[in-house]
Amino acid sequence: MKEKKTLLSAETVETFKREGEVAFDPGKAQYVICKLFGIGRVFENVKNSITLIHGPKGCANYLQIEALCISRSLYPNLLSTDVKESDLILGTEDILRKSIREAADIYKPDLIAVLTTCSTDIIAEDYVSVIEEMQGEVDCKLLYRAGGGFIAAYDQGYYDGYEMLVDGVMEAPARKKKDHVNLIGDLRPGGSDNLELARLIEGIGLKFNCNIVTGSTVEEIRTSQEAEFNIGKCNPTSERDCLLIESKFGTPHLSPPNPVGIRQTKQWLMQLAEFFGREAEAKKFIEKEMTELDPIIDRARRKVGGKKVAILSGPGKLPGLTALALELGMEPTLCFSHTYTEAVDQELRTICEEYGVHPVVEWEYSNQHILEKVLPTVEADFCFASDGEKPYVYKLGLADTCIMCYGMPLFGFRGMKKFSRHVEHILTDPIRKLAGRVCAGEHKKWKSDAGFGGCK
Amino acid sequence: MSKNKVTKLVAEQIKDPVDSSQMFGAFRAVDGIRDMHAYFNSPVGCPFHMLIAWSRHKRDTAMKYSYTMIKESDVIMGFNDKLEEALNRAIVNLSDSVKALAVISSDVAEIVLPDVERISAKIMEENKHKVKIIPLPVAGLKGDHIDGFNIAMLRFIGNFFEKSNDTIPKSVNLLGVVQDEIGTEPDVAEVKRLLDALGISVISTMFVDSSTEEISNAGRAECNIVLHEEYGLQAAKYLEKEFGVPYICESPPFGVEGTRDWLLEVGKHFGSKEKARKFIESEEARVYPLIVQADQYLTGRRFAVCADPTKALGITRLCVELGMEPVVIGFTAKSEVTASFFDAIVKQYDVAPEVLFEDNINFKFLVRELKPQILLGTSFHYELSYEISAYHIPISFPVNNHLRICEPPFMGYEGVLHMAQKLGDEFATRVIFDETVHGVRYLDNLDL
Repeated sequence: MKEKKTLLSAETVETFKREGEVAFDPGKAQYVICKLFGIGRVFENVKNSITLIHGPKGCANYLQIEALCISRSLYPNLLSTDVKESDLILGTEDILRKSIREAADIYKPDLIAVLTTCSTDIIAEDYVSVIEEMQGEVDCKLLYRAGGGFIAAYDQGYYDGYEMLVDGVMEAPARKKKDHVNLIGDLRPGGSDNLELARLIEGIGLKFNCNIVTGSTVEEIRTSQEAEFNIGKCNPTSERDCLLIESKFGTPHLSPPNPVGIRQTKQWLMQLAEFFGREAEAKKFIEKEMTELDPIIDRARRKVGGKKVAILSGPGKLPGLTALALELGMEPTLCFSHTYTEAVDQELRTICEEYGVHPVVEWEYSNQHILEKVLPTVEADFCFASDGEKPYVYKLGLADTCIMCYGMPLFGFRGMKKFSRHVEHILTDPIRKLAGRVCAGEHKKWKSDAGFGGCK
Repeated sequence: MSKNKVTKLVAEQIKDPVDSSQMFGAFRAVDGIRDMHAYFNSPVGCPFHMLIAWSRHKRDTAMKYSYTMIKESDVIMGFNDKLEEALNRAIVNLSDSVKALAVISSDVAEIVLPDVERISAKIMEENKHKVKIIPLPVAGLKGDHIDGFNIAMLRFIGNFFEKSNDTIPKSVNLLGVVQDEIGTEPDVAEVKRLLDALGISVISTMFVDSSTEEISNAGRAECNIVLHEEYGLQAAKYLEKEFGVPYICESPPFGVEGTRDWLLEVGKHFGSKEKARKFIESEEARVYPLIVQADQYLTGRRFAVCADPTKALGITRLCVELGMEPVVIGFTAKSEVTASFFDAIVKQYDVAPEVLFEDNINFKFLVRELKPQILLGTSFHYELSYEISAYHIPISFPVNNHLRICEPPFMGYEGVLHMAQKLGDEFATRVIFDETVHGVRYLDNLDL
């Protein structure tokens, strides 16, 4: 894989990119979420906190739907100030004051994160002053940030959310707790994955301190930098978060590639062990884990080895999923991510070179374009995708598994164990084989019906 | 009046919204029309929100949309040119596969106010009206998802509905059904079965698996029947006023008695009352012996409901008929029509639940205080039911813990049978195993 491969002519690529600038499909970045979602994702997981959306109630409702559908969880307390059209003319500062009072009184939270939306950001009132004023009135921490979707996309929002916590909640540690490690990064907040990473940390004799932020209390976040070390769990965003924390509190960090598959998990663990001089413990732990894992992988290889897989993922998981597929003896034929980063691209190239495979690699197009134009042309028996892609995958008659489903462990050795069994089942279940044949028949008709830009 | 003596929380400003914005309501209407494309005049987030909610409900089709991607600089400088360029591209790419394109406006678009009407008219002119562009001013600031659905519906009717002189006798359109609502398809099938028994045919469901042509053909129906008044009554009134098409909007067909009342009203309108009576007699003879099996397990069970107005009303009636006791009923929107139907039911069955409109904060509070044994609501309420060890049944949007493999109806006689089976199984299990074998875990609540 010496060059970025594409199935499309340079001229077509340029056309798509130009179209992407006005965001008409098939422009790039079609599946982009707004800044509000990114900030919300951070506070969704802080215990006894309230996320107060200062805007129309629809924006809060959307965040709850997204939490339900993407992270398979719910905001414990997601509230809206219910701003209406007339309020924009008369001003919304009093509405915000009243809302903060009510929320603090009813829920008695430790923290309220006030996030504005497109409409309240456009009228640009002095919310900073309102927050400062209300901080003297309520008995909980108040944080504020602009969340308008027209300002930026979710990744900026996610960073802003971390920045709010670092500036407004975290404190310089009065002491350091030896061998304690924090996990950083919550774009993937999965509960079982967090447990597995905590197990890996403790498996080499270190102590898991807390997650920033999934499941942590405000107090735990406040004192989190008493830990000796931070390690990212969701790159590339974790690196940014870790750097931010290090710049303020000096806590050293590492952000290895996400621990998906055996190769990446070993790398994640060994890098952590090296910092603490615990390489011997890590090697011993890995050996023990592999004794249990090897027969499971061997069995899966016998069942799914040689199958071709298309991988549609965010940038963080793309190299790991590619490595995982290769470890199961599968052949990646397409690797696609909606976001390009040089580090991820390099990691992916290294993995492909190690295994001598040459998948089609695509970055930054809309998912819809990849699904309609590229996926049908790459040979694949199987697809690692997310819920949004399921209908297309179904139409192509491919077996698939949802890699965004946070209920399913994906990280670490246990993630590898569960995921390989899952893939094995999906590819060998009699019902899947039958469904694949039936849907593939339908696909012929669908392909001829659905011209480019076809509706539904 | 409620007999529960719980003081509600004072939440005058803040909302814990189960219901969504106008924009989403409009999108739900577009979603039900096969040859219409959704164009979002919005920043990045809004279409993705729609996609993600939508993808949980659809398995067999793939959503497509276009959008403007309004940025900060556009808010300052305006974006008429950008909108025109993007709409033009949409038309070029879509003209072979769609008949209409709905321009769904976001908050930002409605504050900055690009000239959508003028741009749309210009593009249609250039396009020789091959694809109709329908602007929908549905900013979230201006209303909820029900308002948005109604705005879109009226605009679509205004653009496509044609009154036919060739009316088909004893035919109806079904109004007030929403494509992505849980139970829509089986409910429509059951209502068609009920109407068929009365010799009435259904011409169109207008906004469920429909098309611009089907909306146009709906002008051949003799009458419109509104199933969920919040989603259909405005259109029915409009069609009566503008085209003289009468409508029926009665208390909806939920529960045995509810279905009986509904059938008699529909039968009366079409002069088929005797036919209705005979059908009711035979159906009740079929259904009663079956549902009575569940009675011993369901009687006195305390339940809470939170749903869109008609669904909340209907499910409450159905459960009350099955002998259950309503504790808290939450309507996600205000509706005078449904409220009057609900008052009648409360009097008829002598029940006294706490009733809330657009108040999910107090709904959750009262459920925690009063601890019903079953919670029928949205997926937003699952964790609440888990918290109080209540059984959770998803009945109203948004729902993601429900698969659409063999989806049963809520309406009609089949709806009663399905709910009696589902609720009966749950409480039979609790009575036979948990309560008898393991003690009084679930009966504890009854002493409240």
